[in-house]
Amino acid sequence: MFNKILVANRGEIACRILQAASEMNIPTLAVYSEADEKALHVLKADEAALLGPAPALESYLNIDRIIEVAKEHGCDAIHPGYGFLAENHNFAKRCEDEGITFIGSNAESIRAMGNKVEARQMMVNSGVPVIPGMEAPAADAAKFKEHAEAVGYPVLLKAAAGGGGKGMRVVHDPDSIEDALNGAMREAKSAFGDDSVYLEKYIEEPRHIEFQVFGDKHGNYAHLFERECSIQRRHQKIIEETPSVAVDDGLRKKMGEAAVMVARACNYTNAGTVEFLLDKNKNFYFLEMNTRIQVEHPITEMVVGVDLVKEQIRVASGKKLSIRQDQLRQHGHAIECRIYAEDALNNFLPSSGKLLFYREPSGPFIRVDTGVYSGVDVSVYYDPILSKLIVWGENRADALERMKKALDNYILLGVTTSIPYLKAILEHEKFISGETYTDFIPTYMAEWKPPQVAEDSLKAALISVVLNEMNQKAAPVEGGEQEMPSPWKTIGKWEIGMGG
Amino acid sequence: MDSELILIGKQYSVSVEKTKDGYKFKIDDEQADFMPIDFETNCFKLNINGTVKTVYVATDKKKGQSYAHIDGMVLPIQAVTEELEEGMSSAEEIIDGKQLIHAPMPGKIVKIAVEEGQEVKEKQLLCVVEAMKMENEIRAKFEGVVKEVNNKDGDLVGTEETILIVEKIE
Repeated sequence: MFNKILVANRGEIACRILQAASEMNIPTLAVYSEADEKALHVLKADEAALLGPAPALESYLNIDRIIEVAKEHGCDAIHPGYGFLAENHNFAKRCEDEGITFIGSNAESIRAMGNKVEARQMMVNSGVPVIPGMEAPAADAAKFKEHAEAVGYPVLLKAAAGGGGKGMRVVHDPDSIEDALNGAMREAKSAFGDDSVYLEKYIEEPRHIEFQVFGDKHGNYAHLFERECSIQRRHQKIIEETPSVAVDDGLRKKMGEAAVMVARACNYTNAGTVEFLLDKNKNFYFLEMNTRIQVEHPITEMVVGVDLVKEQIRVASGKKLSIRQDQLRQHGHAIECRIYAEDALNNFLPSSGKLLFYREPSGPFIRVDTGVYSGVDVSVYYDPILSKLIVWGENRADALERMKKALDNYILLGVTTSIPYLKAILEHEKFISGETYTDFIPTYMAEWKPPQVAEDSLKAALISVVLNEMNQKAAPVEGGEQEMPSPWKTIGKWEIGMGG
Repeated sequence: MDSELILIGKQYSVSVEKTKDGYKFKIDDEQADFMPIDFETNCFKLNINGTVKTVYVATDKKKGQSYAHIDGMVLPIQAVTEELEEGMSSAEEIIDGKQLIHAPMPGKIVKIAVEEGQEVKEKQLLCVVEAMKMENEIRAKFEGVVKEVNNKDGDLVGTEETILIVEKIE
């Protein structure tokens, strides 16, 4: 196995990976930017190294610096997490060239799947169904109109280099194509440094169904069933569940086989996710392959009983897949809610500031993957995900009930979070009945307002604020101060770069 | 102890007095019969006419800004400070029927969609700010008139600056 793993990420996913490595007794190195000196992942790792200033380009995206730090600290493997460099094939290649194991798939498969146009062509050649649309990006509105006429409105404009909803626009008529194209190109340019945009048919009332796949370096493949991620705001997932109410055993088998076909087609060699759109008539179309561990991987872990991150590490080290398709079963139901620092009432604007108080819900089958703690600063520089709340239940209704209670008992004070909004979605009759399409949020949640607070509760809140202040005045030392004593204050700053 | 607190746009005078038998609470001179049951750091249990509610509280002292978690919701509560009385708050978004638009985080203005003096409808697009590589559309909270526009397309803005102000039409 590895001598030391560098985790080239931050936040909850860095903590998740550090946890897996520590359970495998592999030493770890965290890397951080100047904004993350006191971040949880830095505290959790065995060692930590500063990458550079807060902007991601100068820290978490700085390939030269990360390689340099890996060598200085004797790391022979790098786990990229998700986001940042996770799907950067140049980074994967650089690791290969430097003799460092990239804990992910091989560079060539990442490159091929990262180019959405090439990936699509590869799927057409392999016989995996795709959504009809343009075969190459264009910049000319007339060309887009032509293709839109051919496949029929509505159409979806997408960034060729993209993902995560950036540079995407839905267009319903020819008149709005030009504005949408300009907006998509602008956003693509700023997010990916590449303004290539293409068009495809927009499937109405679709479900986002993705399959977890795994390959190893010996040509073995397996899939770990589906996740339904239809609940998205601005094309970014916020609630995921497995199994999907829309997938029966027959369809599951068909889609699972297609997903493995996709992984095989690009010689995939680690954990990946094949995303499909499923339409009303149970037709499914290949969307894209995410060549990394997914944000929502825990729901698969809960239902299938496999630690995906440990398996990633094992497979990257050259071991054969420890899972076999015929031994895998889904058991019960799992739901994940992504807890973002954002204001659902204000167009999901990210919020920032000091997390004054933090307490996680607890209980059977409740899991919190977190990147924060009481007293930490939520910075403006990175993705506003704070944590993920994952629950398991014997069935969907049981999991739903557990999730609602857990959300109620999840206390985050100081930054605005999406918790009340998430709860409202879970309580919506259309969610309960499983009518979850990717347009769920614009269709059913546009008019959402937080519930009215009872008069007595308002009073209780006011009184508690004053009581709290009195308590702090009475006992300024014992737990009075809001600023929780961070471990950094007690142990001081550790020496970084031991041994050299 | 007496405090002036603002909660959901309304100001309250809250008085808490420690007595021999416990506490005496008053909100706007009205007696409140809440019985605190249990204390731990940042957490209070109150018996409100027979119903027990748990409240978590934390305060950012520098800003005079508190947050109370009750019934699964977080309520922001602002202490009235001299600055606020002078109407200079940067924390509150809606003050005296005016919607003050700030950048959600340091970012770039992609587009200002309104002009000074223009009447806007509820949810009408006011401006587009790019932050976190995403374009964020900021819309009017209510029907009103654009009172001030302080920036133009392409400006870089911090969170403290007011980009524009919309005043409510009553």
